[in-house]
Amino acid sequence: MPDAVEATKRALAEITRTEHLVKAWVHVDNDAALAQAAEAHQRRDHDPTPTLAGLTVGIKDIVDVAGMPTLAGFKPFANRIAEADSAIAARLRTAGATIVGKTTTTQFAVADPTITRNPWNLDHTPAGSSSGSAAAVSARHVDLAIGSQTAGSTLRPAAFCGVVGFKPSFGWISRQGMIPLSDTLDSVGLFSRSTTDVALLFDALAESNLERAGDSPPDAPARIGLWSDATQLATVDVRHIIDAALTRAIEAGAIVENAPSPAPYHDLLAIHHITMLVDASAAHARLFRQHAASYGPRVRAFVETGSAIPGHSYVRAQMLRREYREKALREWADFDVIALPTAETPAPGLETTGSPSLQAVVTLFGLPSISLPAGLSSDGLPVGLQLVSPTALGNARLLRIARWMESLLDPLPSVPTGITEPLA
Amino acid sequence: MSDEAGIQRSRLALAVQELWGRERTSTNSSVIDSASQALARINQLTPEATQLLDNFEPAETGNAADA
Repeated sequence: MPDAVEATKRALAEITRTEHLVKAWVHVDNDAALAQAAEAHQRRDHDPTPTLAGLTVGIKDIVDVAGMPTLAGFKPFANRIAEADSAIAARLRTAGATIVGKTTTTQFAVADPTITRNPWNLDHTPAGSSSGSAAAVSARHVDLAIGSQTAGSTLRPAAFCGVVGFKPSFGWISRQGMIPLSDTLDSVGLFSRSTTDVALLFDALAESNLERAGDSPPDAPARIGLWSDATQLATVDVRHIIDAALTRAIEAGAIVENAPSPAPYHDLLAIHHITMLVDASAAHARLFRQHAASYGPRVRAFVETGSAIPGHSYVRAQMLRREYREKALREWADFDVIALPTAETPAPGLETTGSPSLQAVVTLFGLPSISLPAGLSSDGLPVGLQLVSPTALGNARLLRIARWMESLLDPLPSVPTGITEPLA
Repeated sequence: MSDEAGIQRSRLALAVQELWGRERTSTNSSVIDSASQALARINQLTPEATQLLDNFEPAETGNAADA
């Protein structure tokens, strides 16, 4: 077990070294972090429960941590200090993790870019909305980070920043104390640099002990379903990297076959889009009327447009959502895992957070999904392989399959190429 | 943009204007465009649950009582 105090000192030193380049943090509390670490260090000899002792974590700034601000990128929240821990923060403390601080988010977890830079190339986006969490883990500031996903806000940042991003089944980790965007889509997301660490984090945060991922060995899938309808939206460069990754799986004994899409892919995206817009307008119905001038252009457009969409259209979208989800589960039942690129392209420039098209449908269906670093593009930017569980209660098995897949892939260079200073 | 999407766009743009009364921005236009296209797609689809209703066509009976 790592020494929690030394690990925290290294994390804080690393933040000091490269934060001016990466800009991943909204708030860092050195004193609180060192105090937590000291307490975890003292507990370890007589208390076996702190499974995350010695590991440092950053938390997306839409999730409450007692005594820290939760700003959500929204100016009127400038003096808002959380009075109590969210369920996530409370579980992290119980597990002995050191909460270092709050990471940047797009405003209300929508799509107006943050100031955060991609550690692999500082002229490129880390994606969003969990921009700071992905960048902080990628830059070796912290071992773990918490994000969220309503469309693609955990897996896409993980892919762009060359780290592991995991979105458990909808509802598997409590959202209590997290600012909502979409009641029917929002999921907590987890970041790490390895499947082993993300499994530990999942076990510590899961509301149920029904699925435990941390102690199990890797699981080699017999049948991998390639979601071709989605994959064809990616660039040639990305598809080449995904093909190479799946070739490794075939060489290791897996069969890769086409996974049928339950509906034309753009129909599924349409259902997600309407769902997200209307849900966002519901979440912000009152606050927007009071503080519209403080809303960023994309959040504002979501709320205004969502509020004008007819209710019957939203309800029909939910009917279709349920039917297509059930169809996908039936048609995918014989696969051990579904595979596709995490994103259509590597990280674009800073003016955008990228496209959620290849992450959103899995979010719509509420299925567990994970992004693994699969290689570097011709421009030296990370590309992610997305693995999806074909069952809703497939978190633990997905993590074991991901561990197997990770063992087949070449690791990325340990230092992201956008950060020039050496690590400690 | 398809005809259906164009119809949806006009309705949506008008509704947004009526609700919020603000000048349209390029970002708003972009989101209205994407929402319109999404609505047009969804309107072409028939959920299983509403198939009977969506696909109903009255029989030609010539019965005065049905007139």
